[in-house]
Amino acid sequence: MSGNVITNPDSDVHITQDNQKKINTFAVRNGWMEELELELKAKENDLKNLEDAEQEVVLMTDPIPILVGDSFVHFEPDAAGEELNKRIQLTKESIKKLNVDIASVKSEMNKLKADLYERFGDNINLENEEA
Amino acid sequence: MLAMLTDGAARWSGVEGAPIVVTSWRVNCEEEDTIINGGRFKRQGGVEFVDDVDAFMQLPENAANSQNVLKKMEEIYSKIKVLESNNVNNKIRLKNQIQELEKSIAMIGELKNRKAANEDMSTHFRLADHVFLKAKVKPAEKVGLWLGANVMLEYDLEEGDELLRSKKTKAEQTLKTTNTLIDSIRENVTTIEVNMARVYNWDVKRRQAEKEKLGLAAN
Repeated sequence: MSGNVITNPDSDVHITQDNQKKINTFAVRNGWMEELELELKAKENDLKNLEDAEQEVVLMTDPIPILVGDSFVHFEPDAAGEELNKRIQLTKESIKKLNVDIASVKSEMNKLKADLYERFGDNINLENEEA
Repeated sequence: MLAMLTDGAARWSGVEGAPIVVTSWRVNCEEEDTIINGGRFKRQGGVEFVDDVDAFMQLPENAANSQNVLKKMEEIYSKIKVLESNNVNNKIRLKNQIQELEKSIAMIGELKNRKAANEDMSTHFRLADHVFLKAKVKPAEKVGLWLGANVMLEYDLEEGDELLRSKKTKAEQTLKTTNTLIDSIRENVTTIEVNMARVYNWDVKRRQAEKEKLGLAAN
């Protein structure tokens, strides 16, 4: 969120239009970052569950119900393994994509951060408040 | 403003499934714009960047009265925040919508697989929210799609798949627009936050200067 951009009340450092633009971009990217990280976490969790399931399925001989949409569809053990594998690959792809996005947003943010700290020093706070 | 949003939400699930969200924002934006035009903070519903606080405070309508200026800014600030949360709500709704569509597409995909293999599909299907029933589904040719407004139509698997996919694409486009909107709203939020901080600082400085002056006079 934008709430983390706090200017020090004691400061009277002049802010130019260009500075303001950088502050704005930083705030927006920070919002992106939060969302990307949440998505990544969710996908990593999915992947872990899918991989656990894939291991379990190997031991089964009966048809296995797998959730497709809102209903369970029964898959023969082989087909179940395939289905899970397909989902694992898809999830891995999304994770890879998310990591690329995160890296690029992060590098943009770091550049903005360096610029803004150089310009304003202690008069600006661009860190996330950790709980 | 809210009426428009509800209208948009209702129409969203309509037969045509046309995403109305963007239009409703435009209405909001124009409304905000007319309000904001009253102050010096216009620019297509946006917040104006204050370059020189001192010069800004000397403007006739500001009359160096930081209390009034801050009050005006805070009013605008809370209006933009409302706009932001409306759009964030839209975004959440769209994301849910896309997720639901993906579920339906996945199920039709499975039906297509079974049809291609000419294989019965054994399921536990959802009868009610927490009730599942075992059933065997013969290879299906047709599938009923809920179009909203209490209307369901039967489609060939292929047609149904296409329809759901095009709905999903539309929803994704609207989500993209909404995201861009939220970004630009956040830029405005940040600008006005900085404006407020600077006007506040300007006032602190002014008061200090006055105090010093008084102190000098007393000496």
